[in-house]
Amino acid sequence: MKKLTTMSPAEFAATYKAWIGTVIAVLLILLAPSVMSVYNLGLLSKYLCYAMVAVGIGLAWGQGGMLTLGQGLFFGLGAYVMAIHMKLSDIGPGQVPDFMAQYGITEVPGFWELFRNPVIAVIGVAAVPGAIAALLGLAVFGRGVRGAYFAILSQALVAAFSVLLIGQSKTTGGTNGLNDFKGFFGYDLTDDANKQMIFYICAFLTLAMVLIVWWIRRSFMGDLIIGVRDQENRMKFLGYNPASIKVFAFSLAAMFAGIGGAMFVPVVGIISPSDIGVTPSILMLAGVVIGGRTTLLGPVVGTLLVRFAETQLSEAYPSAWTYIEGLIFILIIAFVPMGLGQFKGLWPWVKEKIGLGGAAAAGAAAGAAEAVAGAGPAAKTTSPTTAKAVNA
Amino acid sequence: MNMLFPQIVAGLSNGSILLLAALGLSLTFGQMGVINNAHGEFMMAGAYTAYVMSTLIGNKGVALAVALVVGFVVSGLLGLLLDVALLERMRSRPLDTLLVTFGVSLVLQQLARDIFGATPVYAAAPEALTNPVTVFGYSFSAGRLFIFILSIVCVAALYAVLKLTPLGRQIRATSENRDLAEVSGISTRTVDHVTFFLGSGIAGIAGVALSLLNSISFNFGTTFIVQAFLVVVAGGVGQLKGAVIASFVLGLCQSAIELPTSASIGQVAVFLIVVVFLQFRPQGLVAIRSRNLA
Amino acid sequence: MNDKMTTSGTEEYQTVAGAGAGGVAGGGTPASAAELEQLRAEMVQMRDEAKRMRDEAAQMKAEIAEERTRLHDQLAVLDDRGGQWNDYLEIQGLHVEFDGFVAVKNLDLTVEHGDLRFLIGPNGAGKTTIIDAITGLVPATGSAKFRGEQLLGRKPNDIVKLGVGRTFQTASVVEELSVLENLQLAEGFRKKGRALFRPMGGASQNVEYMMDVCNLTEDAHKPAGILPHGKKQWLEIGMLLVQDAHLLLLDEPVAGMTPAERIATGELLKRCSKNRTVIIVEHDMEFMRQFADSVTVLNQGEILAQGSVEEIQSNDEVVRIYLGGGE
Repeated sequence: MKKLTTMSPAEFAATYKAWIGTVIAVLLILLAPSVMSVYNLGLLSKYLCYAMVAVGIGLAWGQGGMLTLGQGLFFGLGAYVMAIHMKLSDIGPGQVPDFMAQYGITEVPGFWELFRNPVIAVIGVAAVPGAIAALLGLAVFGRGVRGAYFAILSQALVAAFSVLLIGQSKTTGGTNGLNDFKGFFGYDLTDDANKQMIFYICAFLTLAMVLIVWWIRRSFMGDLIIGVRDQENRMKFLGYNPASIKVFAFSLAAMFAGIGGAMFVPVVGIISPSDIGVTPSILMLAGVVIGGRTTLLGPVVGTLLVRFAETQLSEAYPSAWTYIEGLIFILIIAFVPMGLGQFKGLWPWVKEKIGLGGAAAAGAAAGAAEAVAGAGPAAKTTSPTTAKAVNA
Repeated sequence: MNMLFPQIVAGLSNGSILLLAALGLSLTFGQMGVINNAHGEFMMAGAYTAYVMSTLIGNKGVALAVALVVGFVVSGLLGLLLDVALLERMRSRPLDTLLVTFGVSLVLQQLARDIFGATPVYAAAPEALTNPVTVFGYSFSAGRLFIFILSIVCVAALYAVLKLTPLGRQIRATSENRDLAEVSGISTRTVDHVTFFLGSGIAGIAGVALSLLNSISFNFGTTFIVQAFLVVVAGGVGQLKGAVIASFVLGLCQSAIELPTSASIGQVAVFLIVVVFLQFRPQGLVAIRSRNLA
Repeated sequence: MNDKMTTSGTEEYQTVAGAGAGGVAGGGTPASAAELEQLRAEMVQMRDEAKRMRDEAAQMKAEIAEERTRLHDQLAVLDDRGGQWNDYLEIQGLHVEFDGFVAVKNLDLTVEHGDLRFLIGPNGAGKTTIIDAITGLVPATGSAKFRGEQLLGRKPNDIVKLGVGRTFQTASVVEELSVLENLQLAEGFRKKGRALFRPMGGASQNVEYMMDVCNLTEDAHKPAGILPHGKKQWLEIGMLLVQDAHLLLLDEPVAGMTPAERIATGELLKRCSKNRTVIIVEHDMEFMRQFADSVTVLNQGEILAQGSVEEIQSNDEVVRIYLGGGE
């Protein structure tokens, strides 16, 4: 390892990519509230909730080859745990929510009572989806169920979950879901300062998840996950239990989705079965498809882009937006299966053309959601594959 | 006994609905490895065909008969188009077809919404199928009986095509050993297109038939697709037998569980049954043993 | 190296001999013919003596070289690690059935430490099935013990931890990862807990050594997917070696290899087998003749014959099955 003083800027950038990327991301997050309106900040927070799900999908699908069409389940579990807690702290002890009162229920059910405690609720938003994913994973991966079979099962699971939510409307709020929240752990949700704090929480959680996945990808586990994806039997006959490796990646993805769902509730103010059904679950893949399933930052960047586009287009042209969504899946998967990541090979060429400073310039370009999206090229340098090449 | 009999009938009826919905899927998934998420929308196309025919043709019986044929062709052609335009280039990435066909299903749903509007419509059924029929003192919905018979006819026809015709032999040969089929002079491309046409066409028939029981809207297919997938998974790849048994078993289980609880619990239970079942037979009910590890 | 030393040594000898002869010639005065005759005889004698000594030296040199090779091999054997003399595979009454079809019929087979055993036989004889049964891929009844541990009834990944490694007919390596990463994946199979989450790091001494043994050093950083077929097989064997597997079960390791690759593979396996138990399923008879220590011939799930290569080749039954079976 060279001394810092003898390094050229380019070498420095190459060696400390991860740190530089993190610092830039932190700066962008801290700066965002000063350049964005509270309304836009709220939108960005919502996109970030979906980005958290996408980071997990990138790990489970891009790295692990598990095409999970049911992340809505875990998103929903996290969201409902959080929503139940927020509802209970809104109405105070001994009371029941309005919709339960309408059914004549006078006491909240046991699984509600459990999440009254804020600590249990905070743990629950990650632990409940993680545990359910682990159970499902042990059941299906342990028996060698994979590929399309797994995708179909995950889809059926989320379908069953939303049916269950609607069917058990006395305790889940049914199609209306849970809504009309006042406070978030004692903080008033209508206060702008608190909205800004929620944005910070979302942004730093997303950053933390990206860093966790970055760490996994460069660790031994990262190669194990790829090994199990491409050569499950070989790994088994090298002495590994492929099921447990898959369960690990899948559960972690589920926890990320659960946390994303939990933050969705204070940000958007409602969670209902229509947010987590079969179609919303597959749409959570859209950003990953665009950004590139095998890249580290692709899922985040892609999700922010696609959700931003959704907000811009879906109100003005609702019909056109659905076609666009459909075409995203059709055209990108069929013709550019690795998404934006496919253009990674162009990056050295671009770098040569515009000089290395261009990256920072692109990152500095600020503006609503594009601010974070623009960080893509700059922060993309944290990609472990390039880091590995440098080490070698 | 008094409780049991209607319940078995309800289960068989549910099973036949599942079977109709899953039959085409089982063909395309089993023979080609393509996971067609747009299968439900092909059913929707069939259902709208039934609607259009019932408005065009005065005699409802004739309209239904015509719709069955036209629905088969319309959905079959949609499937053929999908296969030629997109799926053909993705033979080496079967898992990705799931997402591509999901995109197709989004587009088809939106198309239906733009053409027919968002409000559900009904295809007027022939009188004979709306009245209940009475057998052994029990009354059945004639529409359900019709669907039951139709599902059996479809299975028999498909079985005959696969086992007895040269085309069927080519389809089976291609699914068993693509390279060998290719060098034996079979155009696997053509066989794939025909298989996909057949599978999608069956979805059209299913759509027409199920429009007798359900209102028709842009999300007609989504009601069936998830359970149809489960049937295919539980039945095992590549065998009609598996799909048939799985449909009826799941149908019976569902109606047995639904009765004392609720429809939502029934759906969840079916899912759990399939997951538990896969513990014992991860390859599904009817699995083809292969020596090849990869 | 040796050649060069021998040559220079011989030259030296000649110089000494030449100087001796010159001294004698220069010391005496040209006197009678008898004297000259005697001198000449002396010279011839000395020349013969020099020749003899030279030959002797050359022989000693050759002996030293031979001894060195032997020692080197011994050292290499130590280097290669491996197991104890009493590690052996003992199969008793192994029986495998698929839906009523008996693939392996009540089979007894013992393979000792240091043996390079070939399993041959017509298609469907149950060769690969035996390996599948030992490694836990297919359920079997009976007994298969390695180092006294029962292998049957365990999960594949547990069997590996008992020092049993296998390869597949189609080279199975993680194509997207580099050769080095593949070997590291194999090496880390006992990692647990936090060790799994440490960064990959460089090659360990073990991996470097085995890469060298398997002739993969120059390909270390290439993705395994772009290796030629033969090298993929070597990589797979290397993956078993870095795991320090003591029982190697190889399913047609030289299928599809060039003749040069076959020989290299055979030598590698021969070297491995010195302190391991190696079983090879093979169709290539020439390869078997060249490298097998012992051979077991299977037919329809049963052992037809067993013995050295010569014994097998002269076995009428085997010849009949092979001529009739068309394999």
